[in-house]
Amino acid sequence: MSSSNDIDLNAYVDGELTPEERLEVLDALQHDSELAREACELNNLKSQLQLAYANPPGLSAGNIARRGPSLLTIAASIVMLAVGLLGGWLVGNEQAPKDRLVLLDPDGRGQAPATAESQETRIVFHLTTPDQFTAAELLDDVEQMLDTYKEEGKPLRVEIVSNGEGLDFLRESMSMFKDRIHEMSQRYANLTFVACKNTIDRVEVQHGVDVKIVPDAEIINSGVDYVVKRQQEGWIYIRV
Amino acid sequence: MCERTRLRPSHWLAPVLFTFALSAAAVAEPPARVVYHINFDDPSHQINALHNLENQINAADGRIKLLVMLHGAGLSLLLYPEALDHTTGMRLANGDQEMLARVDHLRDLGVRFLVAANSTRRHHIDPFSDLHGVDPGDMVPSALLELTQLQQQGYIYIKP
Repeated sequence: MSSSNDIDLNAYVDGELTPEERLEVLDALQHDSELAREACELNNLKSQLQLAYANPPGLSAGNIARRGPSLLTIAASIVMLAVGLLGGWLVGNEQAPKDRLVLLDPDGRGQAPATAESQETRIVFHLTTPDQFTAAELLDDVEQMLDTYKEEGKPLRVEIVSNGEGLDFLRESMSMFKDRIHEMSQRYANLTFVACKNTIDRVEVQHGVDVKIVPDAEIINSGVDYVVKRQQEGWIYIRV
Repeated sequence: MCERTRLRPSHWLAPVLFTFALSAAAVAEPPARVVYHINFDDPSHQINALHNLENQINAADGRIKLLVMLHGAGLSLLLYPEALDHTTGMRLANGDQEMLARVDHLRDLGVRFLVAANSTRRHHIDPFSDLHGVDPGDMVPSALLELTQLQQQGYIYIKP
């Protein structure tokens, strides 16, 4: 990334520009694909940060009105301090938020539905690069992880979501990994490949081609929306 | 003064909520723990990531534990240029003086750079002679496994 555009882009992504400035940036984005990519990267980072800080623990100290304390108030405060400490301790020690319970893959693909008691590790890999080295390494490492967890008897569920430039990975005409994807899908019932329909539609419009996705992959509406939901459901997120 | 003996919510509610919040925060909020994921080799992208790390340390006033997980093309960050020739599948070696000075500065501030053994094997890199300042303790078997386990331990994941 470079140049004075950074400042404008950050402000643009954060929605801090005046309408005129915004138009200017939008115009620049249309004519400069590199700039558009940077804006997209910034936006991605912003979403990640928002998600990371979506539920900050604890409250900040509010304003507490100062009054002359009576003995009773002091005594009550001590009792309440104890109650507060105990309550805080209970809240702080609670293992996992309740909303981590998820039901997924309604059509199953051979996978049992997740339950609250499940110790299953769930990981969503978000593939957004067309880089072949990265994709090859991803498949190697995922395969190794699936084998390791299986050997150790630990339940694991993995999804690889491709969108944007990462969609090539799952395209019939572009993917260098079709055979490997097919072979791994057959071998691991707990591995799912997922393609983003928004990207498919966009590529079809922009390049006037019919985009075919490998038969082993599922298709969902929005890749970004999907990985955000997965994180909210307690999945581990790794962007490759 | 009036009604000194009656205990009204206005007397006790605020202190209770405050105490509750404080103690919950004290238990649930140790210093933030964050892991940065670097598997790309574009040097300006890498420098940006190092800037992010430094900014985050400053913003947190040092009360933060930061890890950087390097694997794949991301190993180029610590790779000495003269080592590039005998590696395989690496396109860049960005470990020049300027980059390594930034890395050393971050290490001085407490940032740890983890290296995936999977990747060093795959690319024929000797982690202790081809990469800058890596100790055996910085090596992890698999980057994706490590990123998974760190998140399970409560680390926040950032892909710059």
